[in-house]
Amino acid sequence: MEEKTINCPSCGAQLKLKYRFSKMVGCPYCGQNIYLTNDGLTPVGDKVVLADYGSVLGVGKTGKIKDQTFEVLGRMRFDYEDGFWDEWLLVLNGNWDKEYWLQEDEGDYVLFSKENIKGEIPAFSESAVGVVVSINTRQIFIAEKNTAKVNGGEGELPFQVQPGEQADFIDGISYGEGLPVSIEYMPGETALNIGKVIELSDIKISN
Amino acid sequence: MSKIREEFRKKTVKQLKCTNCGGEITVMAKRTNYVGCNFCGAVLDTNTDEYRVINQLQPPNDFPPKSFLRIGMIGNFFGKHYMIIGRTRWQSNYMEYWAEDGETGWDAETWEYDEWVLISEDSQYFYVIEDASGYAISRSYTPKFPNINQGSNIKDFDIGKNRQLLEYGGSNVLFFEGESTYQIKPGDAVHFGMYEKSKKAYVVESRLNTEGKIKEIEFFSETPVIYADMLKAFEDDDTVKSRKEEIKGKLNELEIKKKKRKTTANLFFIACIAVLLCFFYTLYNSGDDFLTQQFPCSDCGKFKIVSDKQPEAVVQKQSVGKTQKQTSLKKMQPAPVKTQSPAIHPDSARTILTYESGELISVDTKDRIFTIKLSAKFAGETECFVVLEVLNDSNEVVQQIAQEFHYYVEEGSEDDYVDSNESESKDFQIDKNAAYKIRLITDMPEKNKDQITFKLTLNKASVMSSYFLILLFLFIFIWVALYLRYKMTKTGKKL
Repeated sequence: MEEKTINCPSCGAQLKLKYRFSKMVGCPYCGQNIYLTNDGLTPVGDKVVLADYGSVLGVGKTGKIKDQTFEVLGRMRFDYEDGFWDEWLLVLNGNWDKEYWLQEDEGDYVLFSKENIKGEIPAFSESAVGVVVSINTRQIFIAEKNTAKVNGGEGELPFQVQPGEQADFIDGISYGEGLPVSIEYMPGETALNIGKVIELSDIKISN
Repeated sequence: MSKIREEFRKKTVKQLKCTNCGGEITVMAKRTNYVGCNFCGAVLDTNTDEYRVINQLQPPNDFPPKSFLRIGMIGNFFGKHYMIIGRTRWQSNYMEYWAEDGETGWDAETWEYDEWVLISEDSQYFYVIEDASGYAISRSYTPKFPNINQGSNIKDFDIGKNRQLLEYGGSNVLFFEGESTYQIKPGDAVHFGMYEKSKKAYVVESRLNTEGKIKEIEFFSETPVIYADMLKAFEDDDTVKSRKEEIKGKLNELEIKKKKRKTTANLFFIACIAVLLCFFYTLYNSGDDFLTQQFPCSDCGKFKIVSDKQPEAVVQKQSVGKTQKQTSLKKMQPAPVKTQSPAIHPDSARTILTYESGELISVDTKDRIFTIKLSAKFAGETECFVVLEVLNDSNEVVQQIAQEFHYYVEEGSEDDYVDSNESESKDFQIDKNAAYKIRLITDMPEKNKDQITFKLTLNKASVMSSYFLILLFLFIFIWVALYLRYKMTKTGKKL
């Protein structure tokens, strides 16, 4: 892991970047979101400090999920009509080449990892809750279809978003496997994430 | 426990006043988005500081909790402390599957239940479902084979095979109080299907949007919890503690009440036994026969014949009687007495004998009850009329029996049958110590006088057995009533 240090263009605080795929970072001191581009650092949007609703996780925290070590790199928060949820960007077992997102929603935790989409993926507008769709080799039972918006982020993030950006999503369960599935229709990218239910008791924080 | 409560309070993110009624509202969970005022039923949006009223539900008084659970109580579940932060009252209209005697079918049912939401210090949630039949812990569940019921069919969430759906239908929100992570609206509706496996209920719940389309599908597993376990889970909660003390007091009162009722019932049971014993005692030890005499008699003992005359003579004698009773006696004489003609046919001639006890019979016990039993024994077909009188020392009739006896064999279509009346008894009470005389007047056909023997028995106290029998039935009735009241006295199984 190669660590890079930048200074927040808004407050000047020194920020250490660990993730080579980071395209955005939220300053933990002033709440300024900063795009990381080849041209340098671009502050975007209003300064956002995410409200603390209580979580065992936090940017920079390390620990173990079952027998895997983890480090929290960043967090995204999404709002939707029924509330909000957090997604924590993790590095698992020191593997910096693969993204893991630990979704925290009303005390439920699901560890998602990105899966490449092979072939077609149903358009958001054509999907319906309660039906089974075929994605890659999986049969996905659609359990929820909704639209959220980005509330904010902190730490390092592998894409560039702004608070208020719309994020359509479909949550489902892979039929026959019982694995949570999340399809995020973000601007310019549709992501397929396959998850695993994690109990809070499986998460051990080291620092 | 107060320390735990304090820990919860430290994490409180909002304390606010209801924008509808001004009632104090404490929001315990940081992730709460909506709160229902437990004073007026308004639902407030806690995501902004305006606490906008987004819905007005019915006031809480219309939907009191079904048992001891209350918002703010802290219980111990899964090794952690959880606080109750909200309650939603749902009403379900659903179809229930039944199978009986090889037949199956579906019944339409309506049911109400409360859905309590509990949160731990580390923001873990679960629900307690409470209805009239008890409690269940409901937890979110990720099935291996997710599916929603198609009509009455559903697939097992774990193995994907067909399962018998037990219930399916819809539920609507009637009332909400406390906190919720999702927006509660009056009339919010869900569709659900439920099957049971290994003593657990598995539920698929479809939340509908305002257009009636499915917005979200959730799966839950529900584990039944008995009342005692639920109470135990909250045993350290201050509310339950004080309630338990209160209940304990009430239980003691009930126990004392029940013991008193048991004692009363037992006393009556003993009284029943006592009366039963008295009954048998008086039945088989009814006192000595005071007097027994047969008539006609060769040796009349205390009795002597004072008159042996034809009816006319008797009529004349009775007509000069001194007492009113004697006058009435005359009226009670059988018709032949009054209608005897001077020329009497030998077959219709009657003999009237009057016996009197020669000695006065002293009675020295006041209020003693006596039984006079008068019977006639017939050697052939005939009839007779008898008057028995008890006279005081002033020769006044104080008690009397006037009775017709008969014995006839009637010809029946198949067999002959006997039409007879051969016995009569009467209880009477002597109300003062005195000496009494007994007079017996018999009236019978002259030609049949040898075929009739009268027997007079005077017995003291034997009548008590029948009184005791009545008393026994009365006591048994009272005892049964008292025993049932004792058995039905509740000692309280629920708070």
